[in-house]
Amino acid sequence: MREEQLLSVGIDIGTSTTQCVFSLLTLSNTASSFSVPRIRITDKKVLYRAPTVLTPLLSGDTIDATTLEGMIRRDYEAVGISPADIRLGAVIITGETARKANAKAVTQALSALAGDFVVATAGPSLESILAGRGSGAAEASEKGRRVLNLDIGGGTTNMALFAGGNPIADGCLDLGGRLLRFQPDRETVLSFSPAMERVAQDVGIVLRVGEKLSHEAQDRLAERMAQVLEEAAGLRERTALHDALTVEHALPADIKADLFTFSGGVADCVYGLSQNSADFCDLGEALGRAVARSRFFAEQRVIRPAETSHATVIGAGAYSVAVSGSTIQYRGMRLPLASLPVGNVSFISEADIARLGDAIRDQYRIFDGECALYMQGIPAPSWAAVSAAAREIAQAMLPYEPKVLILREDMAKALGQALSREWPEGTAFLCLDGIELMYGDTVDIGAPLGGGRVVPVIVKTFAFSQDAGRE
Amino acid sequence: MTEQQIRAVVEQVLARLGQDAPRESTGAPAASGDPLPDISAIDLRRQYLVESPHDQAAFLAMKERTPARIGVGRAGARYRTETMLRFQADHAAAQDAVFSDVPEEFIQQMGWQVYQTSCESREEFLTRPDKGRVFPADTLQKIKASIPAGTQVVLYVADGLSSSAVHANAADILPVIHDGLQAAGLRVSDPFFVKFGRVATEDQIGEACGADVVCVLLGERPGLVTAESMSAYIAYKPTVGMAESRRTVLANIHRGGTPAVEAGAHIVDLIQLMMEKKASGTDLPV
Repeated sequence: MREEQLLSVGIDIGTSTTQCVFSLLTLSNTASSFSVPRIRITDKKVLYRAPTVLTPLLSGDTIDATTLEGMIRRDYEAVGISPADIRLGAVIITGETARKANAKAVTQALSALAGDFVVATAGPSLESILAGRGSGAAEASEKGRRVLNLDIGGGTTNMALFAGGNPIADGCLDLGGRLLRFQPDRETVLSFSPAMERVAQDVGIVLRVGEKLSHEAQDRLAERMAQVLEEAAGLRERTALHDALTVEHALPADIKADLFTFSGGVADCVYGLSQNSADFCDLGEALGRAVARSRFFAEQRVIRPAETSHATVIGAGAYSVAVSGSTIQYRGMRLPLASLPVGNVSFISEADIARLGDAIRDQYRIFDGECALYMQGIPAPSWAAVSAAAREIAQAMLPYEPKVLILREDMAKALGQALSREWPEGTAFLCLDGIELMYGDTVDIGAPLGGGRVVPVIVKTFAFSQDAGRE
Repeated sequence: MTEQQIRAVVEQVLARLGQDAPRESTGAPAASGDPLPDISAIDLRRQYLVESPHDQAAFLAMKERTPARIGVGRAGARYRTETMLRFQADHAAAQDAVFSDVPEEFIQQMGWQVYQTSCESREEFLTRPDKGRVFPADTLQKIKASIPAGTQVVLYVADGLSSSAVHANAADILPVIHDGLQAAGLRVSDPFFVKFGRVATEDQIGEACGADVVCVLLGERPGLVTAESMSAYIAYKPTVGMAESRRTVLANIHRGGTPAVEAGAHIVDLIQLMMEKKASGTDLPV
């Protein structure tokens, strides 16, 4: 196998808009011919960005699934792609919309359009990371700077800090351009969210549906919101408003970023790229202008990312998938596996081997007997360590299905072969490496690619922060 | 540079360190008889010697991706003494790997039968590649007699150009291959050791034993990055004088490359594929 191309779709159903992007991913063997294969995603190309549409809602909090499905189907027709051509895909319901009542039904309605292997709703952490990867902030951080991406959407702002190409912290705020909407005259208040009311109270403005709000007052609201972003990014001391607007968890209080990037719908207003944002009749444009006047820019540490308004959907379609290491072992496994929680077992040195069995049984107990097991593993382990670990692991995993073991260090093939000798013949299992997980993650594992040498993995991260633990 | 010259340099450096140091510390390591710190134990990818750098973190992030000796700083127009000593230490390790034998205790511990090629000495092995590919007639007979009829895969180790590679990897890679092939239902020989052996020894052994697949694990010519790199050369029904393109090669087996156990597990798959396709090297579609 030298090269393989995969068509991938990303569908992002946001608070205000829905986007659909088709990308072409290239998998190739990057190792020389005299080495163990090393299969990587070597190229990501956005083939087609469907026009951004307003997310259809039946009522205040019900997404119109039928209309939405029809819209996406037309995107497929426009680009001449049949759903059967899609090998990887991600449907994510983001921002405020993720909390809408029928999110699950909507994802199900769309899953037929996104191929076998899809990720469904995202939590705020995954959204933040996808936006940062899709915008190009993650890549920018590979050169040694810490880059904070702020994805300002209609309902929420998703922030992720990257270092060396990897996310190291994230946070989410109830803060976006569409929390306050106007009549077409752009002055009469049409609706506002509770979070918006909180901002208004903070600056001493009273919001009332049907009443006019002066442009000067709109700017004051936007300015205060920009200040909250500065507070989140460590450029200003945090206030009670910042904490009140925090969704799930904030960025660490001592956050230090070298560079800032903005993405999301409001980012186009931040960078002055917007052509027709006024059509939205909301606070987005004022918020973008306020950010452009803020401390972010005063300190000259803002760079413009490659993608702005499409960052999250491109992140979902092209960057949500990781490829496992190329020496893995599996047998008789039915793939894809969707939404498997991850149990974390401590295995970082040979001293841990004797305790592996108990640790594994603990994790199965916590997850009601159904989870993937994640262990860091030992770099360049000895054969004695691999076979001793295999005996412990095999015994502890025997009663449970599915048998999925994920390691960070390159040892899955040797361990997998040793495990298969411990278990009864024909036992189905999957043992893969090259993936780094954290407690509380869930994973989707797709059907093998690259001539069966690798499997695609979507890691759905829930949190980084101190309160990341899941009860 | 001779050993004497190196010693002279080290002494000079130590003398200079002694001059700069305050009085109390005249009991420097060398003076008190303690061993000097082992500079070859330092991971070069994490070492950055530039004084007052503009951005050390960014440079170190780049260094993670290469074993090259960059970011070493300078003394005047040249690199510093530490860099030179490290270079010489790595060069010495490479030379040691080529010129030394695999320790006798290690061979015993592995339980290997030892067979020597037509080379009489290491000097001859290094200067006469032709002799390192063949065995004296009686030795070849012994090898043949030691392998049971019906053996499908012959697996053995040769010193090649790095005894250090054999010492570092053999104990971890052999059992993975051996047990893996057995579990796949293949009949595998007990591993043995060929002294002064080159890759093409597998051709004579393959012809003599009539096995389907011959796999030799041997030490690669060392470089400055590692002296412990091992390669596997695997051939389906090898014959003396066959084209080199019929060998499947798996190189770069060491701690910093492909770990021995993972390489072994990959070799198990490769050999099974060869048995199935009845081919190896460029004839084998991988």
